[in-house]
Amino acid sequence: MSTSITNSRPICTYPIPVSIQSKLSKAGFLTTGSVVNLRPSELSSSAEISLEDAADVLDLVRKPNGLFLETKTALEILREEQGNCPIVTMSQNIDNLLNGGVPLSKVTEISGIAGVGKTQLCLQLCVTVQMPEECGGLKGHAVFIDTEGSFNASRLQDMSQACIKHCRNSMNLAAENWNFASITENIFVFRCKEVTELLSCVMILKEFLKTHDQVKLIVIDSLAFHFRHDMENAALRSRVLHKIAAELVRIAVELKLAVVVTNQMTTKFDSKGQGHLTPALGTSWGHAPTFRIILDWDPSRNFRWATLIKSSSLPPGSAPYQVVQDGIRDVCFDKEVTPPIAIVEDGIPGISFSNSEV
Amino acid sequence: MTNNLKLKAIGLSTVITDKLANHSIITVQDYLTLNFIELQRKTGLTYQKLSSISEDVNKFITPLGISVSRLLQPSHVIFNDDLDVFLKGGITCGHITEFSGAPGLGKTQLCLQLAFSNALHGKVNGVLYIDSEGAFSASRLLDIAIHKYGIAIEQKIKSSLNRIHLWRPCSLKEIVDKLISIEVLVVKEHIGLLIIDSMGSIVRRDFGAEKNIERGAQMCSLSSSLKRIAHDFNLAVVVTNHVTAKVESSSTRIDCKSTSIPALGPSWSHWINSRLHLFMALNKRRLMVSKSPEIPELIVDYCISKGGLDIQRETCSSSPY
Repeated sequence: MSTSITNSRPICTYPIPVSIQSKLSKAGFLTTGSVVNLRPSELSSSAEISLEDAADVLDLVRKPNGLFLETKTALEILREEQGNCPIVTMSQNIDNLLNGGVPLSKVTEISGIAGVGKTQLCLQLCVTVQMPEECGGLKGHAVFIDTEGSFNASRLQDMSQACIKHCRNSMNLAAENWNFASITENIFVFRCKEVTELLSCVMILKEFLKTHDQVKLIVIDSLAFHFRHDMENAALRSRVLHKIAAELVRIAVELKLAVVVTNQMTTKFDSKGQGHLTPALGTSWGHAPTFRIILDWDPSRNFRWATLIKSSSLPPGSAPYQVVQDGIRDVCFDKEVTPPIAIVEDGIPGISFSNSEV
Repeated sequence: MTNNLKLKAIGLSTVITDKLANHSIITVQDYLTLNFIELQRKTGLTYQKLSSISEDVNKFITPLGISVSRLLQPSHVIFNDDLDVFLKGGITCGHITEFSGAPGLGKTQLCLQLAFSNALHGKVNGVLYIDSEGAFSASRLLDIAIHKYGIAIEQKIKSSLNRIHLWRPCSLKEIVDKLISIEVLVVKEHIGLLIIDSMGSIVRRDFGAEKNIERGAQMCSLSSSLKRIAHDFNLAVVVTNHVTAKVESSSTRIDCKSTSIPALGPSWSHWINSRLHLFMALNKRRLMVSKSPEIPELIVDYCISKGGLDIQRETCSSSPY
């Protein structure tokens, strides 16, 4: 807010037209402090100037004191968005579902039952974010915040080697620049063993990212783990989650990187008493991520589905994929398959395979 | 705020204002909260003098009374051709309208479409979009332009997009502190529509999801400031809200058996003028006008397509009062 020094700065030092200046001084407005907290209508009626002129004066006076809105027009945002390259997942189906891949500047949540492959997808993204630009990557680094101890270096090795081979085959790139050693160097792993460690880690991220400005991906695997054990108090849990969500959104938007958060599944009961599988951490958390994906097995257990249940710019849909030695890849079918659809039953978001009753 | 308006700015003579200031009566609020006996005792001014000062102060502060005939024709900002027919023109100006609903049902989509429709048709010259969740997507606006309005002319799209101003505040406090800046922007860019997406996350970010007195006080103050801005500038104000789980199992509402209710508490429901609630029943997405001073409750099916909100008009049903 304005200090006493700025408050006494005379109005005549601002680039206000002379005619307006004289009207202001006639009405007794000589210093910054006398106008800075007035509304346009108040200034307009007191100094007998038009509403537009009053708004201009206030704009000039308030700006140096930091009291203005840092706005951008939608056109500027569009140009930024069109320059943002998403992070591919190595599954064309999932990439198409997400219109290119996991988006930058947004928080994406990936939920699924235990063992469905959330960590696998996260590891895959840590590799693909580093791909050279010629191969559709961002040549970016990754931060992996591990709460469950699921970070697996040997899996990472499998995926990296497959990815490097894929790039070399399709692009004929030279060997030196991109290899497993450089991939491992550019992923920073934070192992958080308690909820307090997780909270401080998220809060310190901004500082960390100042010195590591090539990071383009932040993964938290999983956000749910500590909250479901350590925090019995639902109100406290919700407050802390909101704090984390706000910080993640801010980091994603300001630094233009992708934030991916994994979540577990829980059962919620609707008004009829029927149970539904839904992402954990509660309804209020569900509003925070901009993109929400649920991973689940196909009823045949031969492959998996990634279903988009919430997004701000894409239609909902499902993409089939599989997890193989090389990582996340597409799956081919020899017969018709019915994808699951996103439903919201009694305010409980989830997915449903039309054959299985809910 | 009028409460903090200094007596000096009203036009009273300097002699009087200095005398009052000597007794710590500096703002309008200081003056009006004291009665004559207290004022006389403090300042030593005569009864007649105080009467005339009070008259000047009251005349300055009192809002103008307007006849009902002016109130009978509130203007609206357009929303969706099909829905506007039911809404008697669209979203009402001078009011706060809330969109509530579970995540993923399309509140942000409604806001984006609302913003673009109005920026395009130029009924409002500017839209201020306050985004607290990072969900704003300009590419989506482009989709709507192309698929709903079939606009191929780049210039037209650019000029519409230029009329939408995005602001990302960090906290509720920042919004409250910068209310005057919002007003300045409203005047300068001729803003006719103010969208806040979402009020739920802004309030809950600072205060959590449980009720407390300070949260209630801040929300009340923000809503009254928003209403004042809406009224003074004839803006349509749209806010989005979250939903929260209702604990009791039995529902007394006859229209939908949902156990999720709009968040921010029942008091917040009083501070908004109209509410559009999005929910899902039997795998169908439904939009319900659950609170409105103008139209009776109605429920209609909808879906979100590439071009934005699509209403299935035939499914519209009104509940009787």
